[in-house]
Amino acid sequence: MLKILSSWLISRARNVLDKGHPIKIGLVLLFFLTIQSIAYSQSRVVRGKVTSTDDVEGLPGVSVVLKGSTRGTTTALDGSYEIEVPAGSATLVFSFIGFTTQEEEVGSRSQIDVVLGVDMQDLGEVVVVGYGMVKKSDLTGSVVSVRNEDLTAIPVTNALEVMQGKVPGLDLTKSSGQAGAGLNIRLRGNRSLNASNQPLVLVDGIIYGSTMDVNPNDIASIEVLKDAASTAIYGTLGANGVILITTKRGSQGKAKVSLNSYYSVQSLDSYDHIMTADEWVNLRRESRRTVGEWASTADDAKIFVPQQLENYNKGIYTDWANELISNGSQQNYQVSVAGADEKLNYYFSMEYFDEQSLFENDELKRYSGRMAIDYNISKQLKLSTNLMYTVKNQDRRRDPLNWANKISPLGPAYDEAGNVIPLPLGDATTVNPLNDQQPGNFQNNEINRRFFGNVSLEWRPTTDLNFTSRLGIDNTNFRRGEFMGVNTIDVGPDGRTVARATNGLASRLTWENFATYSKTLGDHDFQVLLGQSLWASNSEEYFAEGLDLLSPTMLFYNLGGAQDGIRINSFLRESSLASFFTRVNYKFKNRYLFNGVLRTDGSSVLAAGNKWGLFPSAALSWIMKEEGFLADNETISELKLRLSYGVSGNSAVDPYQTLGGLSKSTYAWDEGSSETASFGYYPSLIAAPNLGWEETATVNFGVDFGFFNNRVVGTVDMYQQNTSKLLMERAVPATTGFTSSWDNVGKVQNRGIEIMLSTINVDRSNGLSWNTDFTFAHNKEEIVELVEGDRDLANSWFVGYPISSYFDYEKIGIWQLGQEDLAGENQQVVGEIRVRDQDGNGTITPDDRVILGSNVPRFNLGINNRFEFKGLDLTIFLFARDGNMIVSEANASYKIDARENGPRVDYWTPENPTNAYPRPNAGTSPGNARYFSTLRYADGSFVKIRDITLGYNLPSQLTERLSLARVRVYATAKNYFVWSDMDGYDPERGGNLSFPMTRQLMFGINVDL
Amino acid sequence: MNTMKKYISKLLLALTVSAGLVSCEDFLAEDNKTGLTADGYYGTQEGIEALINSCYTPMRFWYGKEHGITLSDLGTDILTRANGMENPPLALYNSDLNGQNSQLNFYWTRLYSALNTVNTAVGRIPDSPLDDNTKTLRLAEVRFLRAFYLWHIVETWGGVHLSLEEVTSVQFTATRSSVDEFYAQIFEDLQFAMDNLPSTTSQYGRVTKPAAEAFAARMHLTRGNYTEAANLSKKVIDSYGFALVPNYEELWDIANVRNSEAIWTVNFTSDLILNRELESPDGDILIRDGGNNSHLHYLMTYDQLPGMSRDIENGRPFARFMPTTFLLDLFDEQVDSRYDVTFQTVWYSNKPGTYDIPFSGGDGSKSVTFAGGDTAIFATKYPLTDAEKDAMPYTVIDRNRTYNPDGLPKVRDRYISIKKFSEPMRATVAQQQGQRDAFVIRLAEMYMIAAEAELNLGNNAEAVQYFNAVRRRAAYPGFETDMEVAEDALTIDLILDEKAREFVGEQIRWFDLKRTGKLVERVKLHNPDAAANIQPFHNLRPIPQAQLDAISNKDEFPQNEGYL
Repeated sequence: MLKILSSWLISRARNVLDKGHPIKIGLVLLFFLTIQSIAYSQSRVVRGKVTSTDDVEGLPGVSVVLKGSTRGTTTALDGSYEIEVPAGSATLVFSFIGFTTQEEEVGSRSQIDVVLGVDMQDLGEVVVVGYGMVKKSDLTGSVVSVRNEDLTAIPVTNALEVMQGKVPGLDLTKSSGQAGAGLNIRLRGNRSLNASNQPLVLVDGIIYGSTMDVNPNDIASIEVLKDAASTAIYGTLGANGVILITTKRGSQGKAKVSLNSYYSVQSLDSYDHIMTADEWVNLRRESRRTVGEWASTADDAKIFVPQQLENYNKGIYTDWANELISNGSQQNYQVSVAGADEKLNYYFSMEYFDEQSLFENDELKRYSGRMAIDYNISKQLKLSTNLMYTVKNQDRRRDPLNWANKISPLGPAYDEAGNVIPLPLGDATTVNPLNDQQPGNFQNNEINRRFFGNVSLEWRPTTDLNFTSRLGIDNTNFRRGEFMGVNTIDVGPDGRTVARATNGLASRLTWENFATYSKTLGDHDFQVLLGQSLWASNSEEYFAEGLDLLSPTMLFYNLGGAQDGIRINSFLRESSLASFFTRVNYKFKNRYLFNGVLRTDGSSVLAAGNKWGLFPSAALSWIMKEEGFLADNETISELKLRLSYGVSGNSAVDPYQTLGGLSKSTYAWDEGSSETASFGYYPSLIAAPNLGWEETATVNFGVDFGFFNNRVVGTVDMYQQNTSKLLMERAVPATTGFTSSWDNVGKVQNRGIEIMLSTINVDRSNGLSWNTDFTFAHNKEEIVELVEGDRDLANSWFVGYPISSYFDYEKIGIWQLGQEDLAGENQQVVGEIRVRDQDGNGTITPDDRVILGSNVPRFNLGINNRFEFKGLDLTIFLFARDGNMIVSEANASYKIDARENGPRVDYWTPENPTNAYPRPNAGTSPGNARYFSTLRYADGSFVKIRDITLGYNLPSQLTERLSLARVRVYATAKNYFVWSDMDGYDPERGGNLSFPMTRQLMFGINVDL
Repeated sequence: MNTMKKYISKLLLALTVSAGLVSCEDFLAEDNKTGLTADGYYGTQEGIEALINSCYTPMRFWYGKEHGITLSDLGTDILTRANGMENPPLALYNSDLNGQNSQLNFYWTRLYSALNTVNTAVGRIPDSPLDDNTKTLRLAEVRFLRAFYLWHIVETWGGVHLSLEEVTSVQFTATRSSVDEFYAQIFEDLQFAMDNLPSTTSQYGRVTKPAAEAFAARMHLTRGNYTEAANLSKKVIDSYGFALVPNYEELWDIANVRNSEAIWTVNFTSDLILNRELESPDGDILIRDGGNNSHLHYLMTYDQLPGMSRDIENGRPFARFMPTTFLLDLFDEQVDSRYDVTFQTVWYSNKPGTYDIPFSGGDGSKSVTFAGGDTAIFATKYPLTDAEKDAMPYTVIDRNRTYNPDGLPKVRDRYISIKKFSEPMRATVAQQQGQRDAFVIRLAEMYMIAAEAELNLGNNAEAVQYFNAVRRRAAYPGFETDMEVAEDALTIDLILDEKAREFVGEQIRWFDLKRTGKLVERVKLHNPDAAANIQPFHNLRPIPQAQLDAISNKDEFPQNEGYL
């Protein structure tokens, strides 16, 4: 891929230089420098020729600078150069975009020929876009690139996690603290009501899907394409943005061997406070007092299980969550070898990753290997292959906290001998949450083997024309085995063992053919891309289950040992996409850029007749700095304006939705001696015969700037996205016999501003430096049109509000003593939740519900400060998410009826006239207490120092003695400082109490041989 | 330029070839091998039979299931909530009973889905490849089921949406039809069923002619068509060889569920797989693993008391529902065998050992040693003194332990438990799936319908014959005449009392009280939990808010009166 680019650049440079035009700011400057250097001329002249491993004809436009001076030149069309150097010792620095920089001691030589290696590690100012690369300065769309050094500065499990707070507009949160937990990713808000809002992720141009198991150390760069002009080349797949991951290749020179490793301790800062024995006993008493079943402790025997009451009186109780949670860990070992010569370029790596979460039996082991080879068969033909194999072995713990948080604390976890008591609460019902971690009692193991690879053939008949054919294969094969023994949380006391196994195969095939033609005519630069892509995916699953194993030692490895309840099932899902696309890039006088894309896609998941869609885009860019009036401006070192418009599509719905469907029913006839099956099929999914594309049209305006010799650089993007013909799974009236249906209706708008700023605050000659990267994104998401009217109550969609809005009564407190009459008008009594009578008509009806908030943040903010001094580096990264409302499980889990335990809350009693939570009441339940849902909303805003890293590069004297090229050691503290309104809870988790977010203390080392 | 042209044409050729390798139309066509579509499958013989089978399954959601029982037995004069009940508003008629009630929404959704399934069958059977006789037969079956589901809808929610056609495209409006229109359709469907169904079936569980007639008798009684109700109920009693099971206890023998008295049942089985319900595109819709769950819900938590542990015989106690004192007092257990058959009052120790049992007064305890099989718990509907209780060597739950003098439960986990739905054939005590068929209509109800219809027609002499037939069967041997009621003593209240004794837990009580206009009156008199709350509007349930929110013609389809 890079070679396409470099050869394209070279050919352009050649043509440009032929006509005597500079190709970029840097070159312009270098020309000036060259002219200046002539004025200084004295002493001797050095000549030579610069070639590359790819291009033995000679590299034009390479900068040749005398080290430590401003003197320099660029190579001519044939790669030759000539430079005057002073007498005495001198060093020349040869550099060019996309190639490794090389230094040559002049010594007494007068002829110095240089072969530059293609630099795969550092792509410099080249940005990967769909089906190609461009120089960053030639970008017309909104693209953010995350470089290699940012990618590996802080170790992460999931490669995409590093982008949190680094890419404005990308709202990224970790989904939980479970081992191997995924990420929630949104780019520029939500567009689709029900279809997927996940950005498209590609690895080396091939669709990878959202399961991100690429070794982060193998990644050279990640590009995020945000506006339609950039994503349109991916047509229907690109509506939610595109994330392009480019993996590393070898670079010219001797083989580079790297070793990376880290170890971290995962722990929990604090967990939500679940009621203690005293608190829960009081809650239960109060709940019975309310209904007249309890007046004093003399009534305790009526309301408690006898054994539990005895335990309580003896002071025996357990904090179950505390028994379950311990420290976890992460460890990672990675080795890579990379190198290249004239014919062959290779990269090879292996990784082992192990994560142990806070719970026993919750663990992920990942082994991955990767090999990338490029081979130049001839000058015109190149073969490339890029193969990845990942094996994941994961034990998933059934969330034990949900159970631990609700069972009575009035029992011992262990007996006197230290053994877990299976039924600790004296009621034959409640199993010990620790049962699941007893040896051999519970297993949920998934082994996932993924092969992901592509092979491509590049044919370059001339330097202007390039044809690529690429085949990508992504095959995942998994086995999920579950076994639940007696007394586990799922099976329960005296239950029958359950064994279950699921085998599945998912495969995705991508086949693409595209050609690029580049030409320069005078002031005009053209590049045309024409291509076609086919994509097919299918997944199959086979499932078997049985109860009551002959022996629990069989786990799920002998399903034939199941004696009852035997079930089997399987399914096949297939979908496909066919596409044709073209792109034209045009540049005039190096200042005015135009980019046009046209793509047409056909998708199998849409209804016949609506399968095909056409997605155009266009972008204009003006490099103002190139204009005469700015050329000499010393304050403004870079200035570019970008404007783009485009349409992209979304068809991310499950296959077969348009066809309607039937589901299975079970019944039995009694035919004398036996019962016979009478299975049936009933209409369960209503057909959507007109389902078509969802379309998003985006206008994007951006400014790229640099000031003070680029000590301050930044980008501002403003955009508006209008999504129409939304794919939505609408709630329909149940009187139809269905509860939902797919349809294309309504419109959603996203408007926002994104700012990215990098500053060099301090750059002292003594080596002290301080850089700051700042990102800010604000997005306003609103529905602008619904099927009918301005509100769809069944789906909780409202014109003018984000898609995920919370529509409910507004709690204003608790009915207090003295307000009996007022409460009574609403058929309520004191101690119950009081909500606002929005329409002021005196009674609370469903019409009094209002929009309380939404889960869309008002803004995201990231500030990264990096300090360096003599081998030491310190990075402090602050991340904030503001203004999103979340549904707090802790708030919603208040056990008003005290049938179960729950989080501690400040509840109303006649003696405690709070306005926070209603009075405990055994006469209702959380599901039925009026306006109970109003308790659950919480402000999910937070500010966190996501990580602090202190690193140290061993001095070169020391590394040389050890025969090592580089040694870096570092320590990172992740997630240690979180500020929010939710006491003891990290809102990034999103409100759930299961698998809380962890904090990590990591120690790592990077070694290059 | 020549070479350039050559290259471009080569390139275009390559692109064309690669694009042409697949035909786009074929490549993009969907072929759902896993799933089925209505037009494809229901046009086949196995498909239409599968559709008809599906019409039966939704009955399993209502009968033998916790919330179905809640909607048909709770909030009446005979049952109230025990401490495990998950939906107290339906027992209490408090203001939390409103459109947000999730169980009501579940039944609304499932019943309308069932209605759409039967409508689909009614519409598609005539064009199916079935032979003509089978077509008529199956049409009669599904039209019976349509009447059956419509009855549940109209009695629960009143004159709501009456749909008779398969829904093939989404509608966002709903229409209110009158209760009369519902019943007109119910009678039309039942007439077709009665005209075309056979007297018996080799596939027990399919609807038959007597089942249709029996249900029609219930419907006519509901609508005050007493002559038709009397005629149909007597026809069922006389014509098909049904007979009351000689004694009430045998009726509840798990080995005798398919007996001479069962006219219409919902089939459950011991096969865990065949005991399931529906699958949906989002996963299974199973309530507690499927099966008949009645056995779970009436049991108090005996296993928390000294000398007892949970076992299959005594059952898994969910403690959802408990009797009112009114129900207990309805029985004269000296002559009426149904008290002992219906209720469990003694638990025998299955966890022998020595225990301290607290004295009733509070201070001190008695030390008791149980051998296996010794009485461990004794429950009585009569009050005992503390001294009497403390003298007995086991846990005693007397009336005062459970109830206040006014009948309001004091505790909700220590009470006389209904045991007639017990499931002793389960593999483990934890198993929730029961295999007991749920009686929907059994012959005793025909006797009671005949009695009530004749009473309303003024034929007391005839009415009392049918009434006493049920009474006599319930009597202990030798006490038959003690159970008989005199001709002039028969009243509607006596019939309702008798139905309480005979049918408690059989999911008809709420409808009987509503039908006779006695719901509010009897709840106020006999159910202190709900007495203060119940109002006339509670004769209908609230329409789920999800439905009201989803329709576009909100003004034409308002909430039932009285509900906020």
